[in-house]
Amino acid sequence: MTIKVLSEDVANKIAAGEVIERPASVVKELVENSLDAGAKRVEIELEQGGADLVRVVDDGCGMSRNDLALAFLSHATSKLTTADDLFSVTTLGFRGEALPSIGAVSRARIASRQAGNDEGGEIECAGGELSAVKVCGIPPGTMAEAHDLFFNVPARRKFLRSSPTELSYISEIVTRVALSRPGVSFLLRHNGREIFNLPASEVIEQRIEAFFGREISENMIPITSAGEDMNVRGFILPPGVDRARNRMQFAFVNGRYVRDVSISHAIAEAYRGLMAPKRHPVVFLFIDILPELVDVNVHPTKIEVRFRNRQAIHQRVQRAIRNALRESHHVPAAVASTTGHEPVMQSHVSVEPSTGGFEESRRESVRKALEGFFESHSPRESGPPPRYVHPAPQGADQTVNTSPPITKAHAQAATVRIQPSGADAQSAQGPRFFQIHDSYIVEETPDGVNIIDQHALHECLLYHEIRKRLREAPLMSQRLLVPEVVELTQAEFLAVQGLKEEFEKLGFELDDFGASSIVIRAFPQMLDQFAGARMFRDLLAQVADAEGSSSVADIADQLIKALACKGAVKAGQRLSPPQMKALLERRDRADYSRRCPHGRPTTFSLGLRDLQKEFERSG
Amino acid sequence: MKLTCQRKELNEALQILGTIVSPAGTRPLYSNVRLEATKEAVIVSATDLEVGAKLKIPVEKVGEEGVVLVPHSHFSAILRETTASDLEFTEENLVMDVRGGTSHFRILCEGVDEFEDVTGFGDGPAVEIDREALAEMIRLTAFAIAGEEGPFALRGVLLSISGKNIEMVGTDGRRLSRVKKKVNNPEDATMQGIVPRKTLDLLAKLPGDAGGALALRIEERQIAGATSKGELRGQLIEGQFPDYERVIPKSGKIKVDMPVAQFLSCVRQAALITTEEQPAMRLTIQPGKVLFEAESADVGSADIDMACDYQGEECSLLFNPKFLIDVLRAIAEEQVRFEVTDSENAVAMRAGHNFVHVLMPITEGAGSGR
Ligand SMILES: Nc1ncnc2c1ncn2[C@@H]1O[C@H](COP(=O)(O)OP(=O)(O)OP(=O)(O)O)[C@@H](O)[C@H]1O
Ligand SMILES: [Mg+2]
Repeated sequence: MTIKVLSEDVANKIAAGEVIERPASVVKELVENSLDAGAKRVEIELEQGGADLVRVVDDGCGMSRNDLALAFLSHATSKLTTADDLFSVTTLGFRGEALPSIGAVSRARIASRQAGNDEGGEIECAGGELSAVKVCGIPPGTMAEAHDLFFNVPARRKFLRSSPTELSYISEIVTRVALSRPGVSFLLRHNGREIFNLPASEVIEQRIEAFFGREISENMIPITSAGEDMNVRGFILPPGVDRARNRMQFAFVNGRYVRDVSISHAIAEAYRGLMAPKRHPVVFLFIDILPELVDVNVHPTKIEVRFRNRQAIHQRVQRAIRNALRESHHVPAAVASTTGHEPVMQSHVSVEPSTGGFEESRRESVRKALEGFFESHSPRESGPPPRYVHPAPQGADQTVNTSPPITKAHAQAATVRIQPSGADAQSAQGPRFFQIHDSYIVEETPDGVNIIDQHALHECLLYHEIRKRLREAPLMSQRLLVPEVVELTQAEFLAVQGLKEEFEKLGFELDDFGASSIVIRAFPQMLDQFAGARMFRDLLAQVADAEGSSSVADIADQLIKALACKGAVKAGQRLSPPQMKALLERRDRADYSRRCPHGRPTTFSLGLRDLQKEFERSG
Repeated sequence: MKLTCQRKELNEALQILGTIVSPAGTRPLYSNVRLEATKEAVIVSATDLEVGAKLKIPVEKVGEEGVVLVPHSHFSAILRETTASDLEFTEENLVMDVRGGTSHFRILCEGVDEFEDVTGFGDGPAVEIDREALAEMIRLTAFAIAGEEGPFALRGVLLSISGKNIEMVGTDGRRLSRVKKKVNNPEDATMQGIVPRKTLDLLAKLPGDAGGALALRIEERQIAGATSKGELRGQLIEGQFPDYERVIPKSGKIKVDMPVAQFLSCVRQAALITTEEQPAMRLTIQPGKVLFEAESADVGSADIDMACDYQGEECSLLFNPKFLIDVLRAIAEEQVRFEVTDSENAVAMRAGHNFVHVLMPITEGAGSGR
């Protein structure tokens, strides 16, 4: 065995795996280079989700022909000279790795001209093979393109997803960069179709509105917190304008989009007690910090950074958000007040009641459930404390000392049977089941008892029914009187494009409406209530979870699961005896019912034997 | 406090307030009713801070004025279970004795200090409408509004008053009911607001003299109503109600007059055979008859005919039978005019001069034909 030094070409292919994962990574690197070059306008052109072509044209400082000769060389960068510079990076790039990595796995070409030069130059790099620098005519600035990504690494090429999906990753990347630089104009085109056209703007608000719609831009609350070595500013959204996923939390550190656990945690802490369960706040955070206090060289794609003082960041972020929430009266004190003003609702954007209200009503319903349960199923003593003056064992009640001693007549009070008005009286020989906590059905079986999670069971039945029905025909669509316009993020919009057929099979009737909105004309009849934009986004978010697995069939299945989940009765929903009966009968007819589509059990059974054992009876 | 009062009337008032009070254990203070004895009358009120009502019961004799909070659950149970026609109430130091016939109860009360009482009807421009007419308008629209999962602004009925006209519209996005009537509007006020379901129910139930009028005012955030026997005040839903005018078809291509009772019966029969998750019924209009069909893979099928005098081309639509049942049950007229454009667009159902219901059909799935 001989030890060989890997050729630079091989080394680059390996490294490229880290930096260049998919077309979106190419876009990110090229756009970052443009921004580092001081571009004021960046145009991105894509073909086939970027797999066939990514082209980025900028009006930045450009490169000389000498620079061009070096651009594709490993560790060639103009942005750092000494290792110490690494501790005060102010540019997005600094490793001199991006272009060689792109050149190693695609047919890349860069043409560039500096404003002072009459002629520009161009260089190509295909699969790591460098060409000579040639003279070429080009307006000042740089054009960098990558054709046929992974043409020489078939295994990776195969792993690229459908072009709408790749496009949605790219649009996510462009969204982040564009949010970090409102002063730069961006144009994104895919197969000749314009996807974004964002003019430069002094303020970030316009850009946020362009990406996320008025629901977000009109409800934003500004936050600021200035300090000596750090500034925190940005916008937050009140509880209620929230999301099922935490993807709408954007944090930028010195103009670089980052994901950071301490920032995420600080956001979660700031909203603690205000969010409904499983909802996530929407936050745009811009942190400016002295470059020496943050290490950007920790992750191949630079998406993570390391703060010298994490605690300080955590504290600042949390406080800034909390203060803004307090000033805008979203702190618990205001939320808990019982005046219950209904929140504002805009045209087609539903803003849900503030979460305090949510929680309160949820708590209320749980309490109601418990109460109803105990009133109808347990011995009288466990009811609420009696307000009557019962015949006390010894003399008068201490708290009512002015009242005369209780006479025999009072005893009548105790015999009045107060029937809770909401109690569903079940006839003695009727079906042997009842609901507890508005969430579980307790059912007597010949040899024991079943405790059934009503949501899980219904979801499971629906899931299998939908699948069965879909084998024969699409689901029924309930048409809407007024078609509902839903503003989506570009990524969501593209996801919908890729899944249109699946949505239609499930009974949705969708049409494009402008660049990133869709119109819902009909929805699955199965969904008893159509909650509009919010519900549609939730569906999308659930589907997005399946994106890891690549086949359309898998995603369609995820969509069916999501629909079953939306269509099923909720935990906390009171069911009438006929409703429970119908559910149990359907279960009896169904083939599958023990586990919900997410794999959780629907039913917990307890045998008579177990009961006998518990009570130490010898049966 | 000391007074004697008719059990029946007080009982009725307490039943109405029962839909307002908070269930015991949630907001203890507001699970009470406020009981006030004035010189002329007993006034009972309750609120959940979203909506509140104040009802006045004339009394034989007020011995001593006063005001306390009484737990609604026990108070109303006593009024329901006792048999005496008159009850005598005596309250001292937050203990109230209730006597009637051979029964005697003693109830612990609370002071009213912290209780936010219902603001009365107040002053300002208001309109007057016949109580029964208003109740009918509510019956014709409230069933069509969105449930608790639906869009916010649709969880109530849009009530608009302008000149001599009052109009109510309820919709859940799939169907829409609109009814118009006349009001007495002495100050020519124009007002509008979205009224939530609970408040509508109470408005319809607000007691008053037979044939009497109800005064109505919509303020910026609240609606207020008053009759000779009670007052009501509730929060409006803040939100943008959709532009509904344009969804009401001007006139359909096909028009059929149908007897409401028979129509309802046919739909109900067909609905017996629909599937649970996708209840759908086919309605086909043919020369001379209307055909109602339903089919369920697990159960079987149904077809029901109804004669009608229609002579035109055939037309067929799918509906959720529940929606047809809802509207047909609400209509008091004997005939309804059914107007169809085609199988994908809204049908209009008109009864009398003032009522129209618009209903979107079901389609067999956008994914099927295209
Ligand atoms: N659009 C551009 N305009 C001007 N100069 C550019 C442009 N793109 C690249 N360059 C030059 O080419 C060099 C190499 O770019 P490359 O992206 O490979 O490395 P980098 O940006 O320095 O570091 P990193 O690997 O972290 O991105 C840059 O340092 C810069 O001098
Ligand atoms: Mg770079």
